[in-house]
Amino acid sequence: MKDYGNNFNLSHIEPSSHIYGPGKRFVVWFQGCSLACDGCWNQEMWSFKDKHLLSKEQLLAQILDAPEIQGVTFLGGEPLHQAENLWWLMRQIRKKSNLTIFLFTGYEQYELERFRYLSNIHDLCDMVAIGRYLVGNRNINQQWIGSDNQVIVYPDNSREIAKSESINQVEIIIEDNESIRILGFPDELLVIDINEVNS
Amino acid sequence: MSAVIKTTTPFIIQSVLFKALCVVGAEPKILTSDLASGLRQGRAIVGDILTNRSDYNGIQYFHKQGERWVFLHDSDEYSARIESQLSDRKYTAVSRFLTDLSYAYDMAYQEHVDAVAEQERIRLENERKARVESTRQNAIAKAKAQGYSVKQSETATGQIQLVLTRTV
Repeated sequence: MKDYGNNFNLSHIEPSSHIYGPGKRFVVWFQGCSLACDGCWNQEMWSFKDKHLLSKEQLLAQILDAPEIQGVTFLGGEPLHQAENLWWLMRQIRKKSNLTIFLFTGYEQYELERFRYLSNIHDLCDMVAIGRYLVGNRNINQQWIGSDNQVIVYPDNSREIAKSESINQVEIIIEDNESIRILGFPDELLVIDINEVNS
Repeated sequence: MSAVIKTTTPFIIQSVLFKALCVVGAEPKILTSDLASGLRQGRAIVGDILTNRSDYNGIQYFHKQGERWVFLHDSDEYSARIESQLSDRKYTAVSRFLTDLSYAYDMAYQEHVDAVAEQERIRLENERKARVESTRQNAIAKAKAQGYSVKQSETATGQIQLVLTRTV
């Protein structure tokens, strides 16, 4: 793990996604993960090398400026590898907006306790998806999570009530340059089909 | 008496020349067969561009030779005058007239180039939009074929966003 000072090391930002929690959300993928789950969907997000360094103030400003969103979702990579800056960001979001916060972490419950993260999670998060991605328990038909062992919890200060449904969701964004971005939980056949669209 | 003066500015594009002639007050007209019967057009033929300038040989005009429009007039500008309903039009020597016309032509040519560039930009943009639309329709068809319902929206920056949901 690496200290990025006042910056976040990010892999990707999607300013208005519909499939990473309730409503339309500003979604941030963190760069860097030491958990290295077998079969991980985002192995390019494991490296701790600088990818997109963004100051925490700049990221906060982008989130607060995003139009018509219900909340913010943090995933990765492993967001809690950049925990101190993340807690600061969550506090600012709570203080300056009504945006809800959905955190995805690969850590298990006992690890969150061991690292003393639970207090901040209960204070700041509205929803948390907890647990490693286990390829043997892969399930793309459970909204928001990728394997059956993972659980979604609603911390003490949660303002969200929406529950995960038994659906598969994928988001496709067609760029102005005609390229296609696929987000979510697509099966291989859909990925092949969509990639064929432009070929 | 008559001579052909070849100007230094090549007047190539008829519409640009016509516009430039308007700018310098030459009140251009394309010589048509109808117009020819009522005019003392001298040696001008149908398709030539007439001006409001005339001289001993009749109306001074532009005739297309090869790719260029050439100005034809009496070489001595004998009995030269302006034939216009507008009283503020004064005759200027051919050399001065062509200098003014060259300047006006250059300006009109630049506007023409800009317009062509804009038309080309619009054409390319329309082609791009058509390709994006085709991509959108194909993506939706592929998703529906796999049992997804599709909801479309736009991102804040105007990109097409498709949310695919398949109930298990």
